[in-house]
Amino acid sequence: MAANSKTPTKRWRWLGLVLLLLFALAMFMGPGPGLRLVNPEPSADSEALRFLGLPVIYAWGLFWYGIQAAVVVTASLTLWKTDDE
Amino acid sequence: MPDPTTPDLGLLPHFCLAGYLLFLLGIGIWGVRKSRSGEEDYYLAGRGQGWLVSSLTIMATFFSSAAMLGAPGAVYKEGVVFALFALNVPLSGAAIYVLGNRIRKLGHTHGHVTPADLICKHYGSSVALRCLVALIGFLYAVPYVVIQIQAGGIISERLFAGEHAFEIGACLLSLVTMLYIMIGGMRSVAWTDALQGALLMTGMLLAGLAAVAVLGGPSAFFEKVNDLPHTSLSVPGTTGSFTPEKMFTLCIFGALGSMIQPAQWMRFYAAKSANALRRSAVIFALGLTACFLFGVMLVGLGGQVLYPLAKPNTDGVFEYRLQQDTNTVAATEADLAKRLANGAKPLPHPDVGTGSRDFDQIMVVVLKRHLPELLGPAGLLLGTLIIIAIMAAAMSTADSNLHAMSAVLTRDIYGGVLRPGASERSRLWVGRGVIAAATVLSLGMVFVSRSSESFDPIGMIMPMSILAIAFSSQLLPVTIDVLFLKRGSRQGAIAGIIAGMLVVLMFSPIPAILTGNDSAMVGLFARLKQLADIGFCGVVVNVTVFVLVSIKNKTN
Repeated sequence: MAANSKTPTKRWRWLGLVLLLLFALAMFMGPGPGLRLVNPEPSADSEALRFLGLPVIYAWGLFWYGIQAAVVVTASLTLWKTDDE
Repeated sequence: MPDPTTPDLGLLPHFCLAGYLLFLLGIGIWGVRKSRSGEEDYYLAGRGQGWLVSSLTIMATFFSSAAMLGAPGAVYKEGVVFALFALNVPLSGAAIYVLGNRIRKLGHTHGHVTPADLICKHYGSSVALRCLVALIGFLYAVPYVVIQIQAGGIISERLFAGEHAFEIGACLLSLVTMLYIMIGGMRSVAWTDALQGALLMTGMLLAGLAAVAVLGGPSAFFEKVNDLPHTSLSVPGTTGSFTPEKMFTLCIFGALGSMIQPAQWMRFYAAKSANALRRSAVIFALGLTACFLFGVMLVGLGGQVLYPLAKPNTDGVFEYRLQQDTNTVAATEADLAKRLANGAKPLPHPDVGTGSRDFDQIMVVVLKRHLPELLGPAGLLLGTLIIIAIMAAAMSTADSNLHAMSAVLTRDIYGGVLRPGASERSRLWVGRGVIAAATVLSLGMVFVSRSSESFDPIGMIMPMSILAIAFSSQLLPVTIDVLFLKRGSRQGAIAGIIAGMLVVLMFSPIPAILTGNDSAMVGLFARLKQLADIGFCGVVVNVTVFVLVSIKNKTN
């Protein structure tokens, strides 16, 4: 019984850590220094400014919003649910 | 001044606005009928708010008129980079549960009403700490209330013809807001916020859809957006202000500072259960960010297409209009950074406004000018609905901050320091007096700044609101210690908050007033401000002092 009751706690701890790191990564990459990876050079042609028809910076933001949303939904269905009284 | 070039919306906005304000008053009266006597009911609605009301009131408090006017205005001015500021919203959403649920639990257990109640209980009763926490709450609330009253006046001026449209709009917004808070307390505030929050989300999304429709649908919209100047589609934006490092710190400390300000803190206490906050967190993080990214931010981008900031010259090079002292000058994209560094300010398209502060008008201009053209009578109705949503955004932030300011000044200063033995009944009446006094004072500031050439507190409001969030962020180290770490000392908390607030003050206009604009200190802080968020700078010093003093206390 003791081992069974410990296992989910340990699993949640790992999940919590993974979600925290993923969210921190999304904050760093989305609106943070990670933006430099996709920021077009001043001399770049107009094709470099777009991705799938969207401005590349906007598309980058949408992608990291997706990651943030996935983390919050996962946390609310797992970690935060077990914390409810 | 009303814009004579935009079509008249007729009497429709008058009827809609009158109906809306009467409905809000009705909710206020309903709040009185439902309320029970006592401070806990007046300030926290009996700690029984479910997930729907909790999520909508938290959202409505979070987003002021800045969300509906300022955010599209900033995208119109800076370009797509500012749209990424929306990524601070999921962090705020997560904070609703991670911080909010612990605050709620402690509040329910110990009967806390204000942030200072919880913090002072943890560190042991301290007048100094209580006053500091109350001061931070006060510094946060005042600029926000003033901005919302001003927004009410501006919307009224844009909607209605007439010499005193601004004054009538500002007075009506203040009076109705003051009345329903005074009579119904938190229950009225939360229910009106719920209505306003729903209206706000609908308005944000409709505004985005409208902007896309005006430009011919999604494909045509983004095709035209992709032809904008390079500065509008890249980092750090038109003025060069939004470097990735600054955006990163701004998103983190803007999100957390806004979530631990008194009005939100009291909403965590008011939530019925952990489940209410859990659902609120998800709705907030997903729904509100979407309203930003797919809603109002698109109005700013569409605005750049409809009312370009820069036009190609004969050589095909984009040229911007800038305001240099009192002159209007032109600058190419390549010269833009140099000109801005020399004190020039970009100007919006002449049809949007004539001054460097008129970028915020883009939302109203797009709605008023293009929706009726596109959709006829349905466009009029839609435009009116979105403009009422802007009013809702202003009122919902004003009411929450006035209500929280009343709780902070009454419980923490009047009941906690000036008259510790005051009865609950007398505290409630003082609280109502604070709401009336703060409303009249804020309204007075709006009118004085409008009529006086030499005294312009509104001119300082936008920098003050950024400072307000930075001040609020100074509660973050203490909040994290109280909720999670429990390692700090009372002296450390006081010293850390004072140090953090002093650092934030160094970014205010005060050092320039004391030492002159050309001093080395002013130059240093101006450079720091370009690199990182003000709140972040304060928190770094705050945490350092907090830790060092706490360690010293422990070893002693």
